[in-house]
Amino acid sequence: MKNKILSVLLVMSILAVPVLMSGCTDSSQTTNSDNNPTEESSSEQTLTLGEMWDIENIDPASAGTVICEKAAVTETLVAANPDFSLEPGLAITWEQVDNLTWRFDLRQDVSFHDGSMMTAEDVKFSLERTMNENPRVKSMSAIDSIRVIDDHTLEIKTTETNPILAGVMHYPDTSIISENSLDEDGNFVKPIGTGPYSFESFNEQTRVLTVVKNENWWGGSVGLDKMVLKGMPDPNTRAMAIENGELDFTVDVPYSETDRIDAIEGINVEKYSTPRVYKMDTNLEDEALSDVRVRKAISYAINRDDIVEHVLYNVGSPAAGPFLPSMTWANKDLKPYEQDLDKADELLSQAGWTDTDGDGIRDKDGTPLELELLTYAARPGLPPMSETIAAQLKDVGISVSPKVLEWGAISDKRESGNWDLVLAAYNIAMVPDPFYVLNNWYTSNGPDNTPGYSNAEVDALVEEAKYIRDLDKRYEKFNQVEEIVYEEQPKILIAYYGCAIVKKDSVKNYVFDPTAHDYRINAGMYIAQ
Amino acid sequence: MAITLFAVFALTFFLMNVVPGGTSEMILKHTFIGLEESATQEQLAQFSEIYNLNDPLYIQFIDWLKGGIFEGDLGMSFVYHKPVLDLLLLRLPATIILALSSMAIAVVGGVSLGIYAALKENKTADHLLRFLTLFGVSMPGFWVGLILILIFSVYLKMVPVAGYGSLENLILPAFALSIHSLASIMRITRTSMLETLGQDYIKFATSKGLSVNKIISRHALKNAMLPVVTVLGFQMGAMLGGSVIIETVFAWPGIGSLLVNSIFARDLYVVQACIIVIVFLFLIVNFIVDLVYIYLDPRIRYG
Amino acid sequence: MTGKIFRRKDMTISILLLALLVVVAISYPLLALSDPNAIDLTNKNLAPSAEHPLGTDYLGRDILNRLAAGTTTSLSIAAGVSAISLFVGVLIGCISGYYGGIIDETLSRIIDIFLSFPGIVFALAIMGFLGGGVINLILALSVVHWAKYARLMRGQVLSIKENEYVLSAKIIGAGDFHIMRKHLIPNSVATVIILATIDIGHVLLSIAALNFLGIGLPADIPEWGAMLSAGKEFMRTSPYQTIFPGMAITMVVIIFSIIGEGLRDIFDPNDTGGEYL
Repeated sequence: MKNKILSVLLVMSILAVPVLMSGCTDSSQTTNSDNNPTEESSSEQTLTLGEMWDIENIDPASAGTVICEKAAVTETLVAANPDFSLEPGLAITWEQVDNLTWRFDLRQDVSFHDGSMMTAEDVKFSLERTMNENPRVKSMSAIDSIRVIDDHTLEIKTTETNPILAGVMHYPDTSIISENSLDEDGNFVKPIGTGPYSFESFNEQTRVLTVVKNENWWGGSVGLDKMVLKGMPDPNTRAMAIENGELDFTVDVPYSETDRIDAIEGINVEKYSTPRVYKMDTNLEDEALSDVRVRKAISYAINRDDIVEHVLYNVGSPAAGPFLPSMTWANKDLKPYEQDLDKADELLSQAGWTDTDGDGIRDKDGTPLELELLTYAARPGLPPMSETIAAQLKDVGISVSPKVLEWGAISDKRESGNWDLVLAAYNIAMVPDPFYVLNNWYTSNGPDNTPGYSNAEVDALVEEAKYIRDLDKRYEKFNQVEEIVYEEQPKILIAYYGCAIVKKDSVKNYVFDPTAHDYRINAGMYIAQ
Repeated sequence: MAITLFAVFALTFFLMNVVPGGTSEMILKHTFIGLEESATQEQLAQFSEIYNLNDPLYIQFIDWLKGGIFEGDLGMSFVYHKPVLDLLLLRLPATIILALSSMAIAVVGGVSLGIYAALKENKTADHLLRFLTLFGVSMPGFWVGLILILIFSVYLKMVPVAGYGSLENLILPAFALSIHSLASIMRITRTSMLETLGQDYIKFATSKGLSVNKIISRHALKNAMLPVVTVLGFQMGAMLGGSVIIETVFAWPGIGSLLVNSIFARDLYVVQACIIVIVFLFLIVNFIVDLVYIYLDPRIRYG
Repeated sequence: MTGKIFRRKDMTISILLLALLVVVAISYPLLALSDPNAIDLTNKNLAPSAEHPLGTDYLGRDILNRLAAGTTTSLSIAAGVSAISLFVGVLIGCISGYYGGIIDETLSRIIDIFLSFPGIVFALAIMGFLGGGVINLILALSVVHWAKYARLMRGQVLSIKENEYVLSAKIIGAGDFHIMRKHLIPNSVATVIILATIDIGHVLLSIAALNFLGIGLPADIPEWGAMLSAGKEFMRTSPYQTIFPGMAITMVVIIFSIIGEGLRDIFDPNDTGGEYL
């Protein structure tokens, strides 16, 4: 009897393996066939894309970067050129009528994937829905009310003067969907947009998103028949997957492997700068860091070229001001601080920091120059960069202890004032307009002004610029702000963030869009037979 | 068991709620691309409102408990914008498949190697196997996982590095997760077999001229299995803990990787639910082990 | 007893190796041969060579140097965890077993609750609460580990508290504290210490796992699990920074297993695991 139970137990466990495994295989069969374009009929072009985050959510009001930029299912009212100047999207023109009123004229030839025409009502519906779902967009846009003037004209009232409203309409979470994307109870079902690809399926189990060609796209012909997006959050996984032929297109393989992968036959790697910057905030409440000479000395002690070459493997470039030199409004006169140890030594000595006890660390009034550098691991360049900066600063007699924490813990420490340096990678064109970044980072009440920097001139310049509608005159004010903060270094800018686009040679006509929030798939991309 | 579960709920809830980096702020960060940028005070306030974060903690706890018990509503995930229950149901099969496959490998491999080692006591094979078990219980699971990836995915290109959905994807994580248990089970099987084989009745059977195979299958095995079953329950628990790390290494979309991601993202309700599911599975396994034990050893029933 | 230990080849070797590691762990920070955090970017990701016997990591730091520095970190944290959880475990186990009744019931329930949490998950949650750092890591792991010592200790105390010498001590009016200190703890602690020795291996694995997942120590404190975790991104171009730290962890865990199990065999001749070498 007992013997039987035992043998049943053993047999069951042996059987369990193949049974479970077959269960496993079943669910994958659909995706497997999607993986192999070779198995498909040769006329059908399917691109398999390794996306850099897990795909968990397909609602463009909160997952706009995936649905709008990467899957190209939805589109925004406003588009942007590579120099970040604005360009018509679903809206043909727009105008700030007065301080609080904007008017948008819509394209008339746009239809949704379900065949219905896009009207001002749909735009009103989508924007109002996003305001409800997404507090960030709500506060960036400061929309008070939206009024439909006629089928293709819309008037938007803001609660305060908002010079960046048109820029906000480039943000992917504001992309336009049809009301039919929701069921009768108002629950989101699937995105019905206007873009070059229409939503086909989303497998919640495997988290694979499939989109197909929109034959009736207003913008013209579309390159691919089908695109399969798979979330692969691990850079190593993406690298191996494209090498093994499982993917046609992916981004951000480990930086250290970009050159090796580029050398593989049939795969190419392109490196671009993206609108995000690695920067180190300084706590101006700290006695040492409140001295501009110490901050400049730190900036002179850092070797940005070495960091870009050895830590970022040239995925990125040294930074001077907060804006990429390619941005139309950037102050192009600024050059990145070059490493100059003599200058750093001179500035520190002037500030009273010298090594009196010969331990290699400078001190002043008996206090050694010791700083804590906080960073986080979510962006792979940051921890090694923090270690490198610590080692470089040690060479000029500043002892820096790098710590990798969660972002939440860092925010907490900053709020309590218990910090010296924070190294982070911030977006610099969430909205394609310089106002957002300069206002948030450098004005006395800016939400991202963590150093506690306060300069009346900067505040005044930013405020003035708010009411200037002539772009060139506006940008002039912003250039002055950039120059001031370059001299004062409350935030020490290290390098512009980079993006490595990895694709098979057969993928043609890909155009990198620097204004996208990670990367954007363009309609013209196709696979050469 | 109910009290244990309740204590686990309460402990998790309060632990997660007093962590640095206030919950509502963390939520806000994740509603937006790029987690670094700060939120304004009004945005924080809005969020606290939406997720009822303004109530005192104990009220939040009671609400959550009530929802969980009476309505099967474990709250909403801040990050995924989905009911936690849906997320769990999506992820649970992956963890169960992984754990059961590993257990199967561990049991089959461990028991057969253990018997083999016992039969070859003090011969080279026995020494070798025992030496290997020492490594098996001492290597960090995540390292084994990485080395397996290095060998089989990178150098030999035999299996995909990570992913979910096919048999190929399952092999490496299941093996990596099983090694520790396999070694433990092998070790206990060997010891237990040796003890049983040393008993008088086995010696008697041998002297009667019964074949070795018959002795093992008829007499020795069932008696030697008792301690193995005990270890099995313990190993199943260890495996649930280990799956947290192995799932992270292999990007296996189960409860373990969900838990780790959610801890980092401060996705409060998801963390709680994951811990509860893991503890619950752990308790169920122990219960099943007790049942099996009773079947194998009737004395317990009467005793 | 020493004779018994050194009659076993495997234990002798393990104890010698452990002694060597302890010497390295203690002397390394004192000697300060070279800064384990000093970077050399042009010599990054190198394979083993005469100059760098185990190669260099992603910032050009010598892997051997960092592994040696990591010995101090790992062993001191493990020692701290063992000391705290032993102290708490023995104390609570002893009180629970000695007093019995409602105290025992309450304490046993608490012990059960702590044991029903999967350790690593629990430690992860606590680290999230406390934040990183050596002290916090020690505390988090102690919270996870004390319960099993407490349970074992309780069992031991239950079995010896009815012994005559304990009863007679009670009769002559010895205080509870005196009885625990003079009779109960000395007579039962050996078993618990053996468990703790075997368990140091688990503690080391937990330290490595938590650092691998990325909560824990400042980046300028070299630690094996953290080295491994940082190195995994370079696994394909430079696998040594993943391979060697893992081997170091495995070796130390093996040393503690052999010593712990050897001790158990010596104390408890019924349980014959046998030698490993």
